[in-house]
Amino acid sequence: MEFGPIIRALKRNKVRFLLIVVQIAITLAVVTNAITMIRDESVKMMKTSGFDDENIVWVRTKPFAPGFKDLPYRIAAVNADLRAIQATPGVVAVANTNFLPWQGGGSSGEVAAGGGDGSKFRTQMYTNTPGILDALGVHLVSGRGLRDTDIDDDPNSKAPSTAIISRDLERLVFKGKSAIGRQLQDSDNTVINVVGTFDPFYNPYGWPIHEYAVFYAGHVSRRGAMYLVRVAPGSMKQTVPLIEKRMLQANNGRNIDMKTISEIKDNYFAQGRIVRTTMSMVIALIVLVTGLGIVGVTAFSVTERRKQIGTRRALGATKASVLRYFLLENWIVTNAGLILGVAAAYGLNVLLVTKTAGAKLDWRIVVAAVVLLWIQGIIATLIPAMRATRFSPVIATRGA
Amino acid sequence: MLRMKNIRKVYRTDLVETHALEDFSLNVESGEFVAIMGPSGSGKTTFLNVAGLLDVFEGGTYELDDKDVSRLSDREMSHIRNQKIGFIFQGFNLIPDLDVFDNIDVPLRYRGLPANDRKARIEKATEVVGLSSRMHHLPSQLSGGQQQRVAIARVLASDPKLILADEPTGNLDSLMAREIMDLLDEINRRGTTIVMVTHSPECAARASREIHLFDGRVIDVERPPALFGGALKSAK
Amino acid sequence: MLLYNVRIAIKSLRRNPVLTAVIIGGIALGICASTTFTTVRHMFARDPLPGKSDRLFYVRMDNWDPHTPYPSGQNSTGPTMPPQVSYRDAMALMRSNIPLRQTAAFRAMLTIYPDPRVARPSSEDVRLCFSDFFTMFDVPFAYGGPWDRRADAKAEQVVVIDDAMNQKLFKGVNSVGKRVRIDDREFTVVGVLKPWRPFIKMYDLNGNFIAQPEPIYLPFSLTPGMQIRSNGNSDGWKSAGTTFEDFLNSDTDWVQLWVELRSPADAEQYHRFVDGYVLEEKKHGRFERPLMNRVTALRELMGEFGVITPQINAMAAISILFLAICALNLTGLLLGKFLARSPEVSVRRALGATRIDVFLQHITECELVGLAGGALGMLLSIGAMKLIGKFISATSVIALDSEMILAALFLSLGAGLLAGLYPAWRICSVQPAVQLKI
Repeated sequence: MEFGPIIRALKRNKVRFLLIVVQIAITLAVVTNAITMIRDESVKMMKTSGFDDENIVWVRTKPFAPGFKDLPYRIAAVNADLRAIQATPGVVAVANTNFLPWQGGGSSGEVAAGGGDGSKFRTQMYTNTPGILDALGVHLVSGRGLRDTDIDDDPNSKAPSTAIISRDLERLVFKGKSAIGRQLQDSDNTVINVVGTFDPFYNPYGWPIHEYAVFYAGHVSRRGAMYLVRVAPGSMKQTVPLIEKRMLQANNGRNIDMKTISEIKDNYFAQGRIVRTTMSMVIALIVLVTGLGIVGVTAFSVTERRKQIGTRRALGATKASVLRYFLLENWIVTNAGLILGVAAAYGLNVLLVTKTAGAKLDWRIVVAAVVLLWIQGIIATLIPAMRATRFSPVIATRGA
Repeated sequence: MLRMKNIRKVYRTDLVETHALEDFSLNVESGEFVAIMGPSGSGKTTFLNVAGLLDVFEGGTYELDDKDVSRLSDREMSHIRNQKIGFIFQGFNLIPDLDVFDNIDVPLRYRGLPANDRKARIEKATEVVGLSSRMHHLPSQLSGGQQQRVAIARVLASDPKLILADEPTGNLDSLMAREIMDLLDEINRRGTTIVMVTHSPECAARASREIHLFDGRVIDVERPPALFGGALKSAK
Repeated sequence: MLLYNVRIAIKSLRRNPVLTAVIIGGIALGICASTTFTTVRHMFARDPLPGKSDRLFYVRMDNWDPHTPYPSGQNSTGPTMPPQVSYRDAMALMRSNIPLRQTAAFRAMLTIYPDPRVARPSSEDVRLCFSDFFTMFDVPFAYGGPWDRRADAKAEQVVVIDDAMNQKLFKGVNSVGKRVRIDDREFTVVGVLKPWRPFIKMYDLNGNFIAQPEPIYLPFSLTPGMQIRSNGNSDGWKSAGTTFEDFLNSDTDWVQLWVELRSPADAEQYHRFVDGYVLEEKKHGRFERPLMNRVTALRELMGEFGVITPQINAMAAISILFLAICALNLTGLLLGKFLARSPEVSVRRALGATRIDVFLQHITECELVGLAGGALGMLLSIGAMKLIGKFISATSVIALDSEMILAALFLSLGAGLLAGLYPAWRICSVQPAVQLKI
């Protein structure tokens, strides 16, 4: 209905509207890709370890007493610690282990199925006392858990060791068959008897072996003992100082470090959080800035057309029709920007994917951003256009 | 001072050509005070634009102060406007952001005069128009007559050879109008040539010569043309 | 005339404070975003050892499992090969006299026993390295200096400690010559470092490279005698044996080897030397994988080890686009603002202003806005960087260096100029006229 005059007005002010078109196009490109980055990071952060992360604390001892040079002394100290920690009020379970969730790595090695085709699989490998599954809050799926009698403290022992493995590793290595009673061989050709499987297990690693784990039975004491302690829900604050006190009572020839898994996890996701926070801010600000740009340009064109609007009003145009005129004008400009923007969004995405290994653009995000920018355009136009409706028809009869 | 010969000025839009000045010739001698009169659309404003080097024209020649200014670059025209011509507008045309001092200062700045010279000129000019006490008022704080006096001071300070005035009293009541005309008289007596476009016979009476425009030409007042004889020619 | 233009511009900006705030705020946001992210990127990307980084080379050899290649990591773009070398290979290569300087190094955790009256014993990160390490990586000394090469050869019990450790052990006095017990041996302090917090730990890119440097440095040659094991990454694919001797002779990769080479020709020669060594070892049944050795310059290594993560790059790119939006926005607003002022310009033109005068007056206003926005943006970005520093728990502050301040200044002036060019050009072409309304 009013397309003719609008198009002619746009043609007369080409550059002004072109600026808005380009701005909207870049905005769409940035917003869609920023949302993609946020979603990418969020997906990573949504990953759960399957452990009772909020209630686990990591304890590390840094021994200095000369006695710790001696293996039997160290083992005795570990056992004393386990008893002392377990007896601390608020503690649910404890294990001596070199596994630390969410540190972004760990220790790994290669295993092959005993009697299999010899193909090797890389997996995370940790040494633990039997309390490990309880300390993580993870369930045994088949077989049995580790026992104290599985532990062999002789460093020169050639006897097979005992281990439980994650269910995903069982699937990978034993091709869907049960691992219970089967053997694994590590790169030293040491035989590992698998006695049980557990689930879930997820610990992000530098290599794609996040779900695979072998938990050997054993003590960890060489460079200071480490423990994972699970406490009763909500009792972390009171329990942590108690644990330290009890451990120093047991043996004060060492220093003790404690970190909750939540802290370690926070640290692991720090960069992801920066990406999320800053990209959210960028989205908000870019929409704001572009919105202000639209407000500005519309305000100028309203001022410029004061007389025209007054004349139209004098000739019987309603307030609604004045509003409709500006909204329609903005809608045409916005749509031109969005069409250009969709192309720009995919262009930028291709660049980010190839140059920076970002995630692919999801069309649903594009649709959502288009809707967002439509709404932004309407609001940004309404603010100055409302002013236009208040111009009195009297303007028309005055000089200028 | 001002010598125009066979000047032609045509405004073109997509659809029509309007001959605003047609074969226009006019001589104004140094020290004259000339009033230009004529009905709307007779070419008064176009004449002012051409005479003030605000606009280019097509045919004919224009000599200002014995110098041919018919074909100059935009930059040269700017310099001549700045140095030889003073404008007094119907709407005063002061810059709203600037106070009286700064408004008078504008053309002096573009002339690149040193600060003390500019200050002296501004002070003298405001004294002449009787606004020394209002030096740092904004235009919005002044009455219409005062604003026009500021505009005249702006002209005085830059000391032009030729003043072009466009309905200088058009927006003023009769008392103020008389004050402004007195001022212009005074300036003219000191030797500055004034060319003034006006509707008002009273104002025109103050001038030493009246020139009547009709349909883009100077007409002989004693022998008016056949009524509207050529009026339809202007719009093709 | 410049001052006059500045004054006129300020008057014009003050006439419409809301519009001015929007314009300056917009530019400030753009500058803030772009300087913050490019600075963060710059902190990671900039040359950690200017003038020297092209002479420092990191040595890698593929001694991995003949059946499966070394698994490739997440951020690294380099060749898939072990990021470190074995002890035995490091020792063998150290016999070369091609490098001007060289050091093998690794991080360990050892127990340090201060005077019991001063502090309890504690476990500390220790770097085992050769005396050249300090010169190669421009480590600054407050007292004393590195141990000499003879100390390396004889595995002397000497130690270099950092500023904080000196504070803790000796209350910050010049402690050169004093003694401290580490594990079961007595050490003599030979050097105390000045506070030293490089933004990235360029000598240990394989580990957490935004961590602090170690507080304690010991001669590498103490490793076998004290049976010190790495506390950093250690990669192995076959048995490391049972004794420490076995471990040192195994194919486990846990040592970082750096060499300083005088010229590209020397680098070429050194690479040939490494290839020659590996070919010789192949004859003894080692290095069964295809020949792949790398002698990589520091800057290049930073790229291969993914010092700049994809996210940092993406954020820097997006922040530049954000600045572009802000500049476009500025253009639109200035265009409207200037055109609304055409009657005034028309008067100025009548009074003798040339087009250039008009252009300069308006571009001055744009630059003023650009500068104000730039200054505000820089202030904002200082805050933003503090926040980011906290997020990534960087040990040294992320801060604007002079390079980045210059860049921000240039950026804001550029944005003002670029954004103002079109509006200022448009307003120039306003015709002078007599019949005007202001």
